[in-house]
Amino acid sequence: MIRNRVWIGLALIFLPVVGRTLWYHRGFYRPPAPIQLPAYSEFSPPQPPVGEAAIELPEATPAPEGPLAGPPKVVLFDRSHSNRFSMPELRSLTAALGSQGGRIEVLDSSFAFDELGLEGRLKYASSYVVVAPSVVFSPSEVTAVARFVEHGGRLLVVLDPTRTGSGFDIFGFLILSASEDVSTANQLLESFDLAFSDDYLYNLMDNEGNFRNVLLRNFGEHPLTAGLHTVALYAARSVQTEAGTLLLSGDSATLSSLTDTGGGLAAAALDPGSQALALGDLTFMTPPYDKVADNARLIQNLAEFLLDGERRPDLHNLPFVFSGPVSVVQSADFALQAETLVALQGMSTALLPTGVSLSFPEEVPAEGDLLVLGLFEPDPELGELIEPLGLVLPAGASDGRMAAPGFGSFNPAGIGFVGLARSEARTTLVLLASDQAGLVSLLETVGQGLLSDCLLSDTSALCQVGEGAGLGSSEPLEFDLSFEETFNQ
Amino acid sequence: MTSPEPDPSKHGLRRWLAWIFLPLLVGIGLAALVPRPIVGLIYLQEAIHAFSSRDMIAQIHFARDHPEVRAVVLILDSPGGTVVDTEAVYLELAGLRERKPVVTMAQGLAASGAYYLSVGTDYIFAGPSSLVGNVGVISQLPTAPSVFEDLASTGPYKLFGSARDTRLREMEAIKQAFYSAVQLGRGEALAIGPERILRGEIWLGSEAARFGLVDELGSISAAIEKAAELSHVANYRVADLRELAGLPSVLSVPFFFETPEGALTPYPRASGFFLLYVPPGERSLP
Repeated sequence: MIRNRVWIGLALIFLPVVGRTLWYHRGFYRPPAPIQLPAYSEFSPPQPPVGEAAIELPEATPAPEGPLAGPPKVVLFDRSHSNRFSMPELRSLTAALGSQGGRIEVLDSSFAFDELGLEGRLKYASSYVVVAPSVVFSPSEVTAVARFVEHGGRLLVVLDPTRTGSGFDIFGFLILSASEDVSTANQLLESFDLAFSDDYLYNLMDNEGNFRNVLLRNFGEHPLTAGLHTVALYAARSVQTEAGTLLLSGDSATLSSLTDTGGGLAAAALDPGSQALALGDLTFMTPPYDKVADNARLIQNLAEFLLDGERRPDLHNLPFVFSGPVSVVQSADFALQAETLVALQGMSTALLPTGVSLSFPEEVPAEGDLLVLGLFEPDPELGELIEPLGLVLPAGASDGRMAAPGFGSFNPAGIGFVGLARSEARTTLVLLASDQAGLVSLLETVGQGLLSDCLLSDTSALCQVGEGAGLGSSEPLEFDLSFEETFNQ
Repeated sequence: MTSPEPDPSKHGLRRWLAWIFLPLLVGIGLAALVPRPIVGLIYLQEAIHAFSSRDMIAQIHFARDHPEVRAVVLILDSPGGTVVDTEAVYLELAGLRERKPVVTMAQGLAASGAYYLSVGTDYIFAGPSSLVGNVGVISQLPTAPSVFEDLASTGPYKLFGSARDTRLREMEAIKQAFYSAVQLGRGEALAIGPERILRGEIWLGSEAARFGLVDELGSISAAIEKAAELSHVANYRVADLRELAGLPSVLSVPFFFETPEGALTPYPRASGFFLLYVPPGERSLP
């Protein structure tokens, strides 16, 4: 009996406890097992890939080995359009250019004080490099660049999406103008079927340490991509071309920031004529990224591309039409005089940037470029040199007039003739006038490259060098061809 | 006169009452010692930094050490914060989850580091228009090393911490850990892959639910009920763990950069690695 009471008592003690417990608790919490945590120790900073075809870039610009066949090829770097880079950043490229015999010239922002300016320097440069420009090119500059490429010059335009944004104008005011580099560069590239996009490439799955550092493994067929397996670009704009060659392309996971879509996007493209190259990244050329993957090889290939071009200068390039030392040849009836010497000195000085020198041999050398100075008189010694120009001198015409291909016949008084003949062996520049004073004047005009007042075709020009008979006489200056016909030739 | 005989039936009744009511009273007394379960709330309504993380960890420890706290609801309205503080809270939450369920309510903003915390919990709710995601890391890169005449150091990176390139690669390692936490936390619920998540987008709660970044759209009440359900408690009470832990009210801590005019920017004052969402329209660094 007592035992029962004890049990009941105990039950009554626990009943409220159990009741309250059940009131609050309906089960037991079972934690998810096991609770997984990231393996923090396994996440290490990714390291850059090593190139499969690693090459050593020269550290400094060495002197080219052996004698040079001609004056060094000039690579002109533009810093006159508020370009957002500094030359030391391009040390790898300039060293590669130097090792291959190229000469670096920089057109800097003080080019207003540069007599030649961009258009003048393009007359003798072999290639022109524009990096991250932020000031628009003038129409005449665009035309000059187009003409430069048309005549064998090589053009490299490099943009970098990290080199845009705000800047300061000359008054120190902040300019918030993002991505003006794209419109500025496309202004130059429009005529070459090349265009940059205002974007950057990225790859979230396979990259070089950061999503914006893309690894490119698809290469277009061209010497520029020779020996490349993987190229790492560090924020790159994409480039489009219709008929040109896409050189460095990403895989389907390489996307454009503009559309977040991808597939075959390229960071470098070549124009259909293989003369102009648009490249979407600058950083890969700067240390330490220049040694990642096959970047050094790409830089080497870029240097070769810039130096491989064959310039085909015409009279628009005066006085820089020569490719080596120039022998000055004079007609027998033309004697050197003080004014001529000054004019020749001016010519010699003008040619200094190209490393071309003038010499005065007694006889016409068998090879080498020539500068022929003479009057509109037949000269048996010069006849062979002038013959390719197809001139009809006044003595050979019944009416005393002169004729030149592309200009028809004309009264030679007060006129100077400039002719350019090119063969595999040499370049011959012929300057003829009716008298010595005219010839000196013509020499000065040509030396200064001031042919804007001349009638110009690709290989010959007529310039006013004195009083024309037609100006003060009853006989007007006449041409057989109309003005339009002359220019359309 | 003899005293009347005690009524045996009354005596028996008293004894029975003693045997019933006394134990019952004792039982009721003991039952009163069974605590009412608590669903504790931890609010994060600012960036994750040294002070806010210290407060959160104190509340997590309180919940862990007090059996009456049966579940925790993490209520987030934060753009994230520093990497180290986020990871510290994340690891403490993992420890708490071994004993008690933790449910997240992405109330307004659960971006970057705040989302990192949420994937370390058992269940995530979001409001339909809450902002969720922004998986990734940001950091201001150090300047290129240089030497100064009047400020000497004993190594090229002593004044800069690391090279710019090194910092960039370290960010990648932190990002990998972040993504791993998302993968482990969300598991098969995740409907999108790294190619989408690692873009760093921030999504509306409704989209985040569709992509599996959160479990369900709901309210704080729903989150509390879910926490109670996971911990199998009923008739619980809800309490702010800050108050229970006796922490002082939140003080304004200068985490973000303030302009000389007094305007607060969304950029942190100090440099370092951040799991932080910087709202658009504020892209110019101070």
